[in-house]
Amino acid sequence: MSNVGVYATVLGLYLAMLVGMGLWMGRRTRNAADFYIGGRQVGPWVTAFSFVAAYFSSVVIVGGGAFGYKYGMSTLWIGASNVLVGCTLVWIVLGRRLWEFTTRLDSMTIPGFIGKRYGAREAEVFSALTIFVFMIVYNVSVLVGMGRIMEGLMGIPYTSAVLIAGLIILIYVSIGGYLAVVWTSFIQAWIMIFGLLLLAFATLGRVGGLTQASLDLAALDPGLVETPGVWGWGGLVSFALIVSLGVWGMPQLLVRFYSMKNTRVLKLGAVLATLGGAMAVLPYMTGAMSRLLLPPLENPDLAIPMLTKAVLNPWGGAIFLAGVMAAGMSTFASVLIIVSGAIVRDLRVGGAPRSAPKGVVAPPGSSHELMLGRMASMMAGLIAMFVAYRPPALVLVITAFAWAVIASACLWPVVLGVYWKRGTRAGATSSMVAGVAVALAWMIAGKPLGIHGFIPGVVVSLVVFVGVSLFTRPPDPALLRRAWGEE
Amino acid sequence: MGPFGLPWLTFGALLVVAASIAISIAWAVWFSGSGGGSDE
Repeated sequence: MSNVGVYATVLGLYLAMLVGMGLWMGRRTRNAADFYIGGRQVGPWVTAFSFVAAYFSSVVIVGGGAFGYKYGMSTLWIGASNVLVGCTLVWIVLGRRLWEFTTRLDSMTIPGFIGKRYGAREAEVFSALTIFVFMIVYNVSVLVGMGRIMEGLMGIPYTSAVLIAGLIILIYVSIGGYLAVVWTSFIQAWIMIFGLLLLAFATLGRVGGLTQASLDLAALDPGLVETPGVWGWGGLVSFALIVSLGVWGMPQLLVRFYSMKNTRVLKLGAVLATLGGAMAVLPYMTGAMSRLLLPPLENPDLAIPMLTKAVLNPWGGAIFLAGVMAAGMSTFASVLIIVSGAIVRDLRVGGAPRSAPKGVVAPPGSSHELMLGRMASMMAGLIAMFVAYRPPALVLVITAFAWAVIASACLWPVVLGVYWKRGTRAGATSSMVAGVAVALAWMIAGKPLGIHGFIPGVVVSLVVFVGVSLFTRPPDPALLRRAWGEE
Repeated sequence: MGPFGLPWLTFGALLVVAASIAISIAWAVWFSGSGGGSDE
């Protein structure tokens, strides 16, 4: 069988499995709560590994390899911060409280939680609009990443690759909703981990082991093994923070905590998410070692695709490609559900959603909302596909800070929302606006001091949140009692 | 020079990964022991 034939066979089987899972989960999706949070019935294994899959997109795998190639072994710190801050600590610090608060406040989305926690409809609308715009932009970058790697490894034209990947995701998300997203993500996480381990071990075999690789890299340039090495502290620390602390404000990851069936899920889930997240160091390590095997590259993004061809046979390459596709598809799908929730539940396109009366599983009008949710996820996906088809230069620039903008908006209103009773409606709203404005302005100004816009965005939003809250009237005690479960 | 031919500061990243796994296990044990987690 030719190389392309092998790749097409593996990928075809994989994509067919995803559609099958979407159709199967569609039978279990009967109302809006099923569509957005799986009816709060998800267990530890699926919660943990779907969290890992949604966290690490194809952009991280290909881009992480590129960073490793360019800056060397100091980028292992990015992977390490992903594991400690982006996996372990977020599960420990936020998991239980977010589940409890969203359950008490009957929230299915992060904007919905912010709106109810602070009694601030304007904060809900602002965060939903931020999510709508920047999550779609983020999804464009994910789709572009998948399209490029399919083009590079399989020779499929970029536009066809975008069409195939995008349509498959749209089918299983719009039919199967959140359950399809988490179950496909669970499978995809294992494919990603296996693919990354395969490439890492094949590369280690070629370079004579990690010790030999480190010595050879140091001989090329000591900055390739030192920390901060050729990157410098500003770039390394700010990038590590954005891709790890940023998780604390990312709705497509936080949703995993309030879709759990109970808080007992956290015990095993935190360990599993940490173990799965540990794979985050592999793209950086592999990318750094690739410098010893590849000719000098003008575009470091080619490091991982070229390394795959150099060290893996066609079957291994096909499995790694499936892993990269899995990383991209799980992230894209998770984001579609979040954007759909922002449109239907928070911006209330199609009418205000109704809460279920006590003891009633599906509120009146729930099937109507389910249909709206499906249509909104389709629309969000189609917009991303349309833009990714021929992405304007501006969109590609914006993708570099879509994650930073969303995290700057949501991080403190979520974290302080479950820990600080003194946080007020004005504090939350003004901190979101300030965080987004500063993150955007910093990036448009060309990242002064080499620092990513997330850092000033998140610092300013914290200062504004605390400052404005302390100078405005304390929140309604009844609202606090309800949120903290003290009624 | 630390293990694997890496400077200690760079090798520290791998130690942080190992420490994260240890922290998650210790927390899970503590959470169970503290009666944490509910079946609500």
